[in-house]
Amino acid sequence: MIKAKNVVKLFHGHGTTVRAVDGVSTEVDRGEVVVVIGPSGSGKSTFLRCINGLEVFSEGHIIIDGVDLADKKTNINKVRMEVGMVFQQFNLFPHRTVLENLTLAQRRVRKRSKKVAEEKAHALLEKVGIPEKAREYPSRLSGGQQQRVAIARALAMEPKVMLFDEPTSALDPEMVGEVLDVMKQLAGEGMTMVVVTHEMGFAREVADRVLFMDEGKIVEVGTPEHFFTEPREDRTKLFLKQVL
Amino acid sequence: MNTAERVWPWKVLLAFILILTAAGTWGAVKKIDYHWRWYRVPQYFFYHAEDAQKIPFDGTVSTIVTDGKMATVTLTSEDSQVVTEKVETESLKVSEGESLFEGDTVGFVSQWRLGPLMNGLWTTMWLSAIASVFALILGLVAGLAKVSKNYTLRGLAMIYVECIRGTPLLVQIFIAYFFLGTVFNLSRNVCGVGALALFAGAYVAEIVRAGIQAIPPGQTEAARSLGMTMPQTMMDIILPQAFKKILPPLSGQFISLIKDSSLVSVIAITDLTKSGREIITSTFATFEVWLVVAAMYLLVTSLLSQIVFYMERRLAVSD
Repeated sequence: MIKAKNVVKLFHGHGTTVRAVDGVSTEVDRGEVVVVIGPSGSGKSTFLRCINGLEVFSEGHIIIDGVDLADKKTNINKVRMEVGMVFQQFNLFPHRTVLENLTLAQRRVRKRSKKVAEEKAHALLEKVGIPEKAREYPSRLSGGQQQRVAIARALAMEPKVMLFDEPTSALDPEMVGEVLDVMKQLAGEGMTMVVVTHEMGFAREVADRVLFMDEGKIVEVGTPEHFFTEPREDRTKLFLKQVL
Repeated sequence: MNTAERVWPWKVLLAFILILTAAGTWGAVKKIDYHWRWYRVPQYFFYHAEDAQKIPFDGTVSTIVTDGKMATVTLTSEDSQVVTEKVETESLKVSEGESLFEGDTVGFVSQWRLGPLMNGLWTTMWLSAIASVFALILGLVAGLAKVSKNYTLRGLAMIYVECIRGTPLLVQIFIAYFFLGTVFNLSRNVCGVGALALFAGAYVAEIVRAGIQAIPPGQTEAARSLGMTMPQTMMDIILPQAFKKILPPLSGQFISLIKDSSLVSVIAITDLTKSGREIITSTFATFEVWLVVAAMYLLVTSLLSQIVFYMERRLAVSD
């Protein structure tokens, strides 16, 4: 589904160059849930943002469903239709109601009729557990509700892959659970997911594979059992000791 | 803390200061012995015009049909041409069978007309309105160019904004009229509106740029991640939010534009300010006319402020 080959992302600034992502290669199969963990500044979010082209990587290839993002002829908007993304800060459109947040891209990008888009939106709001909030503006919702709307908004495009960029990091602790529940449900339905998170419980419970990144590189890859019981690398051990 | 109790002394102080200012002005005016002629002002808003209806040839009055206040006079020339004139019965100057020479007055028709102050106000308003529309379009285009990734567009927008903001409007109006107007054969109205639009557009561009940049990048990222193109993102996500943010400075700019439009009087466009000057030359009621003109500008600008205030309230529903 997703194939990353030697991806490098350089940030240039003030005479220095930072290798934010430094030669990452990995594959994500259809239906697989991959959790990326690592200390902040390790390049995990940057790598995730490379997958839907929000960051343009400097070297290497990312191939999604056979389409190479490094190819100049690739229409990035076509790729993004198939790759949903959920952000740490939700990024709902504050001037639009919840329903409009869910229908806007469906209508503009998928060219669906208003009726079809709204039916889809209502079904998804039902799925994430807040059907009654359709007519509200995002500012009236709690953080957990906003993030669930954001997930529904991404799902409305019927993506083949969902990317989650620290989806619970901006939430009050009591709201983390409701968002993780939606994500678990999604994983259970066979959605292909790449999740950058600090929620080790989620990684242990839901991940098929865990990637540990540090300084732009993948340090260790393994199943959750492997990771949380017998990590190989010293850096992984140190990180897990700090967060668990 | 009970704020209601603590406000009233300040209200009294405010009233006191205002009364003092008014009294001081009054006293000073008394000293210079200015003769106020307020009674001369109303006729420059509206006046009752009596238009003489004249016979266009040498001829005779064949019939006069009176119908209440109006009378219809039928005139026949020596070579049997016939015309009819409607005049007020009371103002009738002729009787049936009378012979008249070309240009003789048959009677009068009176009606209320807009005086120079109203005509000037109208000119100021349409001038400002058209200039505002163009300024908004120009400012939007230049503002978008300023945040564009394209170097040439950014450069053009920067040069435009810097040139306009770095020179006085009065000079720009002179350049628009005497230079561009002569070279491209443009009328004074086109030059006036054009200069005002270019001037305000540069400021609107900066406001638009600031408004767009005030929208968190996450909004663009979210829209783009859903597959929306950059133009779609701009139209549906960024500009609507930016517009809400820039409405107060934008309205301030348009209020400025209304006031700045007074400068076009230098290229002989008869706006409110020029009308005021013309009235003063015939009445010498300098104080009255300028005070009235100021009040008229104030009326228009505060009306605009009110409209914007209501728009802001309506847009606040999603906050």
